[in-house]
Amino acid sequence: MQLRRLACGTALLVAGTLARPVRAGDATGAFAPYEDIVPVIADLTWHLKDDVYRFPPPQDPTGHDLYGLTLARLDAWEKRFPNRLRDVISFTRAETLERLGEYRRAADGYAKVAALPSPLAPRANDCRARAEAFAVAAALPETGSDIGERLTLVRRKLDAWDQLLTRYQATAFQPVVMVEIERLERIGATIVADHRDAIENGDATAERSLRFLIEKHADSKNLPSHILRLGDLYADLAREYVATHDRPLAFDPDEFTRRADRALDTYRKVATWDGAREKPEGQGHFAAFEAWKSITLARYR
Amino acid sequence: MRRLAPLLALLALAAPACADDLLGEAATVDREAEVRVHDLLARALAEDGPAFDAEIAALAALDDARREADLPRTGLLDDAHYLAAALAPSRDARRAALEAVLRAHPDPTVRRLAEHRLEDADDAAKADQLLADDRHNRRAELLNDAVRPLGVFSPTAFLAAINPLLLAGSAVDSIATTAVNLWNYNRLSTAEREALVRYRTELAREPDTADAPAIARAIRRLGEKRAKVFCTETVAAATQALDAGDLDRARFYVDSALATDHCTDAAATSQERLARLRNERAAREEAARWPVDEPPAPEPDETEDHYALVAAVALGDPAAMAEAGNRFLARHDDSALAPGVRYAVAVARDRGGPRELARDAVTALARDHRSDAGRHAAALAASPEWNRLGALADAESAHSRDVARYVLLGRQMDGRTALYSALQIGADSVRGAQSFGIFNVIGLATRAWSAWRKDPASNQAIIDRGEDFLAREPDSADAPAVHARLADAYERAGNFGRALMHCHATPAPDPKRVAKLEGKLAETLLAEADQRGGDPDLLRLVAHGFPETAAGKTALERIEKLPGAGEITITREILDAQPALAGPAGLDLPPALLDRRRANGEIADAGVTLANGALKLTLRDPAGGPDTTETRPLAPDAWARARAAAESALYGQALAKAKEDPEAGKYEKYIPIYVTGSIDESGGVYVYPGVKLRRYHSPDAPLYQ
Repeated sequence: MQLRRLACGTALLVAGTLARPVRAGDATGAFAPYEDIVPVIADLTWHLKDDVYRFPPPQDPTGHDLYGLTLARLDAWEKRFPNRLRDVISFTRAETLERLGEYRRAADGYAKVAALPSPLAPRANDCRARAEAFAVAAALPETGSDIGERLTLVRRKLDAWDQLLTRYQATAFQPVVMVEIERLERIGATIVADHRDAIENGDATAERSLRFLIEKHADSKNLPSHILRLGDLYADLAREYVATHDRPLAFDPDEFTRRADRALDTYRKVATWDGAREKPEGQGHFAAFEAWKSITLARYR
Repeated sequence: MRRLAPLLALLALAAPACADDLLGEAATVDREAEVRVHDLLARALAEDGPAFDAEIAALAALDDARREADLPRTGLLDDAHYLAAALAPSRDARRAALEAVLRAHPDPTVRRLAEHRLEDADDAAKADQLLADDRHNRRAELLNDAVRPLGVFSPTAFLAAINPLLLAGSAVDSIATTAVNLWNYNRLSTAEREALVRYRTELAREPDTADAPAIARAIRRLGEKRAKVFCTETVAAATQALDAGDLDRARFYVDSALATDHCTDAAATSQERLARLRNERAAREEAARWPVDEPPAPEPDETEDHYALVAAVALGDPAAMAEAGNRFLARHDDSALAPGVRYAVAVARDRGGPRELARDAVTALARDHRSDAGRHAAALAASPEWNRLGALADAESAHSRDVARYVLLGRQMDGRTALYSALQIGADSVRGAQSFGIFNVIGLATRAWSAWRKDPASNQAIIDRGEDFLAREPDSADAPAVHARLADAYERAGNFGRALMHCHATPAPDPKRVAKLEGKLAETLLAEADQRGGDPDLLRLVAHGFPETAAGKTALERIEKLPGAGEITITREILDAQPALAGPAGLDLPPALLDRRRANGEIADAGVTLANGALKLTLRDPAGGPDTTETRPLAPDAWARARAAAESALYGQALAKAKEDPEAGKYEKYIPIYVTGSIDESGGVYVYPGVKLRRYHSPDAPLYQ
């Protein structure tokens, strides 16, 4: 009998040890539908003030882009529970769209909330003005029929964003504006680099443009990418040197090495940059260009 | 009072449902719940801190009231606290709030999200964890490697009681391994590289955190280590290039090292060596331009015939070269210029044919080691370009030697250090003296078996020579044999696609061999499809390209089971785990299908598939037969609702599994040690305990390597 009691006691002890902890969650009844939406909004709230210019976009535990995921989950929840929390869902969606660069849709979303009898209406009205200004700037054209027109349009659009930068300096939206400015300056530099043959003193201008991009956006998350583009320009210049000096007596190994090493140096910066998304690309570019350099020198030896 | 009204309405649920209009009351409760959640979320989105705190307090009060009324709690308090943590003004406050959330035993989703924020999304915390794991792994590796050679549980350990020398060999091995590990103990690991980047990111993101001084110290320490390694790697690359004779590449790395801070001294030796080798190369190239100081001149009676030959060579006409050369040799066979003339004749035959005669002429001339032309011919005859088939045979011989060496002697030392090699050999000899040969025999058999299963030697040289031969002489009479030899080499190297291609290029490919190669190729592609998470394109390639192989049939089965484009499958297991999914705001399934009674219909394990605007239900047969399927079309609204609910459910599953390690057992984390056994290449049986390592599996690992 004592043995049986001991066995029961032990079993209870083991069961108590292995039992799952009591949970405070698991919403029930009328509250159950909201258990899906509160974490969605909470997750977005964590990242509303993120510096999207300096740091990569946030990810959820499954590795998805959090802003895109938030949008999808808001849509899914709204389909399941239409007409519930309309102002909250619309406002959250507009905030998400703004982070994703969809300023026009964000402005429309804020406007919808501003028109509702909601505690969020005043704030939505303020946000609408901002998103509207962003949408106007973003809608300015940036493609034209020739290089000159394209550069002019990009310049005009940059001016518009520069004005917004002044207005939203030192706010949570400064990084958003910086992202747009960086994008446009990159487009400008790419136009110059791609058409340097058509521009007077094109090689030097292209190099200056890319170097300007690197120096101005030294804090950007895209800095390794900008450096890679400069490496590409140097690599192109080295290839062009070989193309224009392909006859053995015209080829100067030292001049070629100087040009090629400039590209290799630049690629290597990215290839050895721990944590940079572009590191594998830099390693690939470096290895390929180094092999080409060796083969080219061997051909002329 | 305003906040109390909905609270009282919700509490009304505590009373038994005795109202006439139950549906109306339920709707009231739903509305009140919505108002409660709405106010909470609106205050949060409006960043109205005090009002938001009041909403949380009201929610907590409601939970207390419901508990006192024997009602289940709202279940939203943990979600609300998680939201509150997001609104905290600083990193430190946010971390404290998250820790409070976790202490309150939240539901699995909130727990997972809070843990993610505390451990993974916080760069400094993640870096701390990486470094802690790294320290643990270094110590564990040191201990494990020291214990492993002793094989404390191996059968030989018992024999050590009779003969202590047996253990002495293991002890020497253990000491050697420990010495090597201690030598490498402070190497910069991938985890440290990642930690450095994460610390820097955190400091840039949150410069005001209370952990900033500690983070800055860690950055300084790891940064110095990283800079040192960068310098060492650059100098090593320079040395490697110098060893390989690639001076242009070496120059790049030497220049890079010299431009790196605090790397000048480390690069000095390479710099000097580079300068010396470049001077030597320059001298060599200069000498190559003028191979002899005083070239032999023709005797007066040879001048006319020699000039005719020189003119023919300059014109590059093989017939004229052969005629002039033969004439010269007929008249001046003992001339000092004769070897050079013979070489010119050989070149004429090589260009004008027959080439076999040219080969013979060069081989004959190569025996004359006294003349420049003879030495040049010897070098030419020995070059792979001249004798490609011979080079292929040489590569095959070298491969056979490598395999035999492996089978007889085992894999060579990895050469980590001379100390290790020397001590390892010492340890082996002590053990070998005690082995009575039995372990050697077992080892021989083991290695022969593994060599038969997987080629231990590289086939690359054979492949290079063979491909080179076929590229230059595709129509040679030897080409079919070379194709067959390449098929073997590629098969040994595990490149079954190329092996199959060369097998097909032989005049009469053996159907059995082709089938075998197709089977292996299909297996390889199937494995690759698995590695890519069941890549449908690869599966189709295997199924349609190799339908007769076992892998082809497996691939076909898998394709048939693949969900169609846009289809979502919800298994019975998920339906049971998330009952709300089957409700009206989800799939809207009749409750009878989930009540575990076959008689009134029951969803089978395969569950429900959403496709083309309809629900495809897999149902258990009430009579116990095979499962049946039933398709129920849905109205557009119901379809959108069902799909949204299914996607949410699958996301919840993905979230729960996001941190699970598929290779780790359920209770593995509670057991810090393991016991394992192995048979080494010499046939020794080892059973030994070890401290478990904490696996480094960062999704961004390639960015730190």
